[in-house]
Amino acid sequence: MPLMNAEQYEESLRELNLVVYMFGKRLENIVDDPIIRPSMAAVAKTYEMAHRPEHEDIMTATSHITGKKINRFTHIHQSMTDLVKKSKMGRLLGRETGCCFQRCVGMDTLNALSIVTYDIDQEKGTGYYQRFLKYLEYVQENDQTCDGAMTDPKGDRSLPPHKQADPDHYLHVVEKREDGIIVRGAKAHQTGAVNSHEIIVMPTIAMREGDRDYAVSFALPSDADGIIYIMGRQSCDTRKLEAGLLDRGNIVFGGHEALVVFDDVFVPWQRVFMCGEYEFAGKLVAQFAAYHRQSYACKVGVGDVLIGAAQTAAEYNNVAGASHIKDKVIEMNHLNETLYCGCIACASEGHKEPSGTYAVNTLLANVHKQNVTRFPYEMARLAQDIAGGLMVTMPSESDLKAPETGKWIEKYFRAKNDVSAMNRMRILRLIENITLGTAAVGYLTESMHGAGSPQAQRIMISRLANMVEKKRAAQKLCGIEEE
Amino acid sequence: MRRVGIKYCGGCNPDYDRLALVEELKSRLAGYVEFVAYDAENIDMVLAVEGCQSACADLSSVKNLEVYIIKAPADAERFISFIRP
Repeated sequence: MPLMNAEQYEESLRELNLVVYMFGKRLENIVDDPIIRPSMAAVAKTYEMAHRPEHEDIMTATSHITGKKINRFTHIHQSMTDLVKKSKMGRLLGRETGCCFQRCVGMDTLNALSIVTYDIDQEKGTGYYQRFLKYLEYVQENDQTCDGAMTDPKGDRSLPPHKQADPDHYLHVVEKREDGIIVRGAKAHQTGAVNSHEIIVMPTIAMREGDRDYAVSFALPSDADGIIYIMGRQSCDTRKLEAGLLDRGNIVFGGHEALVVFDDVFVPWQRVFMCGEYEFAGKLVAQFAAYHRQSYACKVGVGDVLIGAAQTAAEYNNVAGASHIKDKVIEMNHLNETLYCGCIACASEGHKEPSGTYAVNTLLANVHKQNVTRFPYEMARLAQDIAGGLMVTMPSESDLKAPETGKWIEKYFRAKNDVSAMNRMRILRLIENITLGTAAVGYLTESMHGAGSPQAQRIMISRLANMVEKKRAAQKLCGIEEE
Repeated sequence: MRRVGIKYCGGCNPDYDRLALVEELKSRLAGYVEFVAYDAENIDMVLAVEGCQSACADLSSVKNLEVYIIKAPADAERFISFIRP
């Protein structure tokens, strides 16, 4: 089914038999767990919107292998228009969900593998690319959500994988068999892992010959034997266990991350896309990272929500006309649209790789992501400035609804006469959710470290900036002759 | 009565409510136009409803048809005059 709808997606998750732990206990019903369910709803939105005529131009694409209409999250970019539409899709979904919708990482993994498996074959005479295309067709035909799993726990950061005191600190091959490989290790920070049908593993750093067993990429059904998920906590996560919705801020959507353990897991050869070709580990990491840094277009959409919330809070307080408030909202928009410029620019300056896949401009993708490590923090600061301290001092929804206290809250927290205390609390809780609650995981810290921490982008900017041309231009203009 | 296929852009950051505008068009052009999906059979023309001036909807699948492009509510008024002079 190349285009599942939201209900079919939810049902498909119920058919999985994932081993998931949270708060020290194994979960029996993951889809309906109140802490996880909002994150499932965010992924479901990517399925629902693909069926809407008013969004299908962005949310769907035509498969280059089957010619069928597919969800863009399973598409391999065939043009720069595809790359631009990917950025626009990120903004659209970020704004519709106000959180991380989790599905971009799988798309970025598929696209990176479509490039690197081809390149390995060209140099080594292997058969990874055809194997990958067969797998891709399965993903597209069944509209799968894929978790792209890159980040190993890494242990001692000063040591390469094969010199770690615990050899499992980087995921590696522990046995090669006639029918496949056995892998052991873990992947940390896995966004949307338990909402995924498939887990696609990649190496996390460039590698040398000694790391050959660690240069491995493969795909597995998310419920394969030996895969264990341990859910990450989020600030304010247990508010989702309380009665009522108001204190959640975002009453529908959310995200999640998990530690994914691979405890001697079997991978059949037809799902292995790299095994020992250590020379290509760095290229796969860099290609994935460039795509994924572009994917932070989603933060522009979440930024749209935050700006809308800050403006609403200002209007509720009847201060929206104050010059300093207007200036802060202008600054938020300036920062947000600057982010948008970056994700559109790296797509518009893309290029075609030998495999036929279009890749983003790596320098501009890194510049974009470097901005993402900073601007959402400043936008969060400005939103909190506009919101006022009540955002973190106001009582709970239960207090608002209790007869003994509700009358006082309604009396004293009403601002403009025509705005109820409840609506004022709603918009402030949304700002709280994005800037220091569950959604801050995605909007702030993930903006910092997701797709690589700030220093990773600075290294790439240093490598890719065209310094020769800059020096030539400067020297020519001031009369320095070539030596 | 003309059969007009509606093709929306993706709506990443629209300047106006595209769905509301189309509902208004349906109401004001009742009896003159039957609005259908752009990929329906036997359509006379396509109305491309673009959310902003960049007008990025993919119109390659309807390139053999007459296409009227709306990028703002004011364009909708012109479309009404075009259909109902």
